[in-house]
Amino acid sequence: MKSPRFYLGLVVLFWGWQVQILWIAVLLAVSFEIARSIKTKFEFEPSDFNKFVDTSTVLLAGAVVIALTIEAQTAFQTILKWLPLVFFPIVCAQEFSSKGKIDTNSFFLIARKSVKIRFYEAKQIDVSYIYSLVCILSAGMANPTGSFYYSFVVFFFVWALWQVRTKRVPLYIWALCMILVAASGYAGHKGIYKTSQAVNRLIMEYYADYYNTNPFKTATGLGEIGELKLSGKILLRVRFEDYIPGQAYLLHNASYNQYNNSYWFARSGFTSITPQKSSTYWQINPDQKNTKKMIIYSRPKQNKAVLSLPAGVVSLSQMSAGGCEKNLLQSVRVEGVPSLIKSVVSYVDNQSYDEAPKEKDYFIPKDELPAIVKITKELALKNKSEKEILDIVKQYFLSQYTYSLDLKGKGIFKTPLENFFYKTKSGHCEFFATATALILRQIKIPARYATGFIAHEYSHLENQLIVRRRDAHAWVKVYINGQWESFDTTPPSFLQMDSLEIKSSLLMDLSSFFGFKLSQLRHETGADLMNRFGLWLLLPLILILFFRLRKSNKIKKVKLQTQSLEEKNSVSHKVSFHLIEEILTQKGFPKYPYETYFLWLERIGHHLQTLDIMAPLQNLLMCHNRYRFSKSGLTKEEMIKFYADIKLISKQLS
Amino acid sequence: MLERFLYNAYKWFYDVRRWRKRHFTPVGVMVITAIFLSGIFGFSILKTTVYQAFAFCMSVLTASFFLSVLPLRFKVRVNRILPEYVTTNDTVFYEIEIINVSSESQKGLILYEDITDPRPNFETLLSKKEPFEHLRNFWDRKTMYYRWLWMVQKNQKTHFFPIELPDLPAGETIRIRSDFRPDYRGYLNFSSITLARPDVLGLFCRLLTIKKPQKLLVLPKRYQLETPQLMSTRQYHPGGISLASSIGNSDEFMSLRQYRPGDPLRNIHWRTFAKTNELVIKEFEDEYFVRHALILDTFSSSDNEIIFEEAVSIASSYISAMQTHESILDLMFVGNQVYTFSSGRGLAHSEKMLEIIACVEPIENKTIIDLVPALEANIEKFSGSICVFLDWCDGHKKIYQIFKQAQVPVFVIVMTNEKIKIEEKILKDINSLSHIKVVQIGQIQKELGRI
Repeated sequence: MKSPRFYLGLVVLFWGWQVQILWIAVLLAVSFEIARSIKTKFEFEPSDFNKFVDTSTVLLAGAVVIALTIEAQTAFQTILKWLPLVFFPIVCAQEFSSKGKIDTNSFFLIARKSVKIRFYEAKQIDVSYIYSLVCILSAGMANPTGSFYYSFVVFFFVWALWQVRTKRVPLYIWALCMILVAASGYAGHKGIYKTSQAVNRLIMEYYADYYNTNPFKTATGLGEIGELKLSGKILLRVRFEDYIPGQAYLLHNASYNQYNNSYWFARSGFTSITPQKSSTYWQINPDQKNTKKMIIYSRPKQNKAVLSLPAGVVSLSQMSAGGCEKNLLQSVRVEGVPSLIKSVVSYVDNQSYDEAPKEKDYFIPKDELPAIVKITKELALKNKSEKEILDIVKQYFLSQYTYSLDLKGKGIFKTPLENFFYKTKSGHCEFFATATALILRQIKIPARYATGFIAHEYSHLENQLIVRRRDAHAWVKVYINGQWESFDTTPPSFLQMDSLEIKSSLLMDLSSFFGFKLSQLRHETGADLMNRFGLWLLLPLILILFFRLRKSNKIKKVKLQTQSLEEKNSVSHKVSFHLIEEILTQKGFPKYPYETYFLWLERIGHHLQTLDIMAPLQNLLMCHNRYRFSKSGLTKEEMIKFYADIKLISKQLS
Repeated sequence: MLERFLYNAYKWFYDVRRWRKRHFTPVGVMVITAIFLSGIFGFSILKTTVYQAFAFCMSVLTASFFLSVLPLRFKVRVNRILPEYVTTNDTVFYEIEIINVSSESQKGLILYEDITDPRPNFETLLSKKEPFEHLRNFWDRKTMYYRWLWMVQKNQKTHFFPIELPDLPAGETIRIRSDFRPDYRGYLNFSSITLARPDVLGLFCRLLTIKKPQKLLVLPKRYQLETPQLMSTRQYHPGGISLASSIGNSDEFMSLRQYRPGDPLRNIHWRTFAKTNELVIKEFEDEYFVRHALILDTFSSSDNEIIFEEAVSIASSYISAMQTHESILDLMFVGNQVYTFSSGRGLAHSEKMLEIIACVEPIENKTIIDLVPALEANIEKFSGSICVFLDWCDGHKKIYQIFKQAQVPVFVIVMTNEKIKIEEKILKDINSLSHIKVVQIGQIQKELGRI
């Protein structure tokens, strides 16, 4: 099956448009269409086709290596996107060859070698439709939104099916079937999308622990006994555009709104964010003016992570990821990410996009209620403004509580919080955040528990802020003046205490920095170089192919025969009664060798009665016989009429 | 155990492949491929739009399936007009007559030729080898895939392409021309003709099979060979005139002699009896004519399949080339037993012998020595002999010597892949290469075209 004229060119253009390399696609499309237009072709031997296949194989191997080196997680998508370019040499060879087909053995190295021990003939195939399919699928890989994609898929498939449509049914029935198929396909893909979203949500919730931070549930160290085990390992590297030396920045991972039995929960599903402008730009919240910029680097253990971001994130750019999602509590998680996530974050200070307070944000568990009520009464928070309340609470914790990484359990009390309030008066950030959130809820101020990191350590070696595992932090989000704000009641001394108690080593830092630089070289510089100069890698391959073909010195140019004089005569011969014979033979009324035209028409006459053309046919036959056998022949006028009648009746019969 | 499993798997895959080829058009296969690929690549529905292509292809396939539900039923008669014989590697043209007996016209049908099941049985698969098996790697030998493929191809002899039929008007007869190229000799067994009707979208086909068993003999490939000039003599044959019914020196009166008891009554010379009252018998000259033997070596292992086929081709070429109306040609070879077939001078036509040789199969469990007793019993009849050997060993040497001792002119052809090695072997055995031609495979026409 050979694809029709312009089909291959258009499908390649569609691919180029979707993958955003239209200029390359134009070159490819022009090559294909030139091949279809010119009469001069090349006589490629199977061994010559092998060279084109070899070139494609090298291209594919190169694409695999580059894709795996730069972004192993998205390598599959990257390779698939470039497949039409990879297979271009093969299709090009086919289109420019006089055979117009490719020996299947060229695709298999073993089959090529075993040519002497083969007892079956190799098949020859036309790869143009297969290539078109690859182009369509590649275009789909590059296109996550694809409002036009379905329309073009329908267009190309219907065009291909049109070539092989059955003549058994009238055209309108075929068209009707196609419309129904397109409509049901449309409904089908919408259904698939919705089902997938639902299933995806369920799976995500089920496997939420698989992320570095579970945005649905977090266990606090409340109630445990021992020592909080954290390390000095560097997890994040941060650069703030307006960095003020000495300032600490909260980087938010996840927020939770329900507390129970030392666990905080969040029941907020995630919605997918589609990349815009380029596949590395993700609009998290509505666009804002006067945004600030910061760059964050992290090295996730798996190819998925919950991002640590400042509050008021508007967008993430220059971030390669297979997918990005956020929930109403402003947790942003990504998947299909490389081993180094780089993200340029645009954010607005003092801006919150969290979901408005709900009933859950006032909820206090029954077990905790007595202690919370008692503390609230002690603090005498009634009839105070929100700002005053926050000051009192902060002052309360600062003055009466100390920071400690020791985990002391719940002692003789009913809950660990009671132990914290009444006996130990010391704890780590989770105690302060949980206690603060519940106290504020008691006086009807919505509060949420937030986790993340605090970035405060400036590395002169790296010239940026570094965030270690020990900088993990918990604080409260409080809803004041119609805005969610961060509110941290942990005594500020905790930073110095953590630094003193959880040591970091210079050697580890150096090793981490070295690893970071390598990853940066691979994922940032490497990717940038490939994007800019990657296509130049094709040049040596093309040169090698050219020299290999030239070396073989056997390829001949052949000119496809144009219509010879004889053929032209046969064309005019066809515009005679023979044309009628041909059409009627195709219709199932062949003329047998022993029959004359008259006998033939007599035999099939009853089949043609409905068309009412028997009389004109017999007249035409008379003219035909006069033209062929009579000495006088036909006059010029009669000839013109004869041809016109032949065409008319042929049309009627067709 | 493994072999049985593989055999069953190959059988099953053959069925599936055949079913797929008949029930799906190439477009259908393409759409299924598209479904398969888009299903894999579009699995991440939230990241790509490939699933949209999947949805459309599924929609096309489902619609096509439902549109093809109506069975193809109409009364039709078919008739194959086949030639009497065909030759391996020659393109064969033949006609198929299709008569639409129903009152309904049919359009857009596709015709498939069916042949009898070419799958070998389990025992055959185990016992035989394909020609290149000794060159294949361990995996290929163990899985026996190429062996299976070869046996299937050998049994089906050729490959038929589907034919798109013109319209079939009600009550009308159409004739279509078809062609094929047989790759193997033997009987080609047609079993039926299948008509397929693609659905509106052109993906699925509904089938109508019409049984039409027929046989066609595929003769071995033949070369334009020159018959060797055997210094043959005409010899007495007791068969006499009865073996020379068509042409020959029959009824050649020689003399009269006294009647002896046992003489045929019809040869009594009645005129002399009337005159002398004594029984006198007419004597006729005895029948002498040329009788050649064509010895075909059938003792071959599967590894030498190509050599054996070439030997059969050479034997066929000599059968065709010999002027059998002038002489008798005896073909001798060993199958389950020793076979001798005679042709020429009214015994049988060379076509009959070609038919026999077209069905010759190599024998692995016997040696050429088995041919010796039969040869010794008939050696006196032969005026000359052509031997086509597949190797040179003691048995071949023995046959050669039998002819030499009986002073019967002999011409020996030894087929081989290693010409020099075999020539050295022959020279070592009999010190001469006269009347022996060692022929390299692939050089047959060149070496035997002019002897």
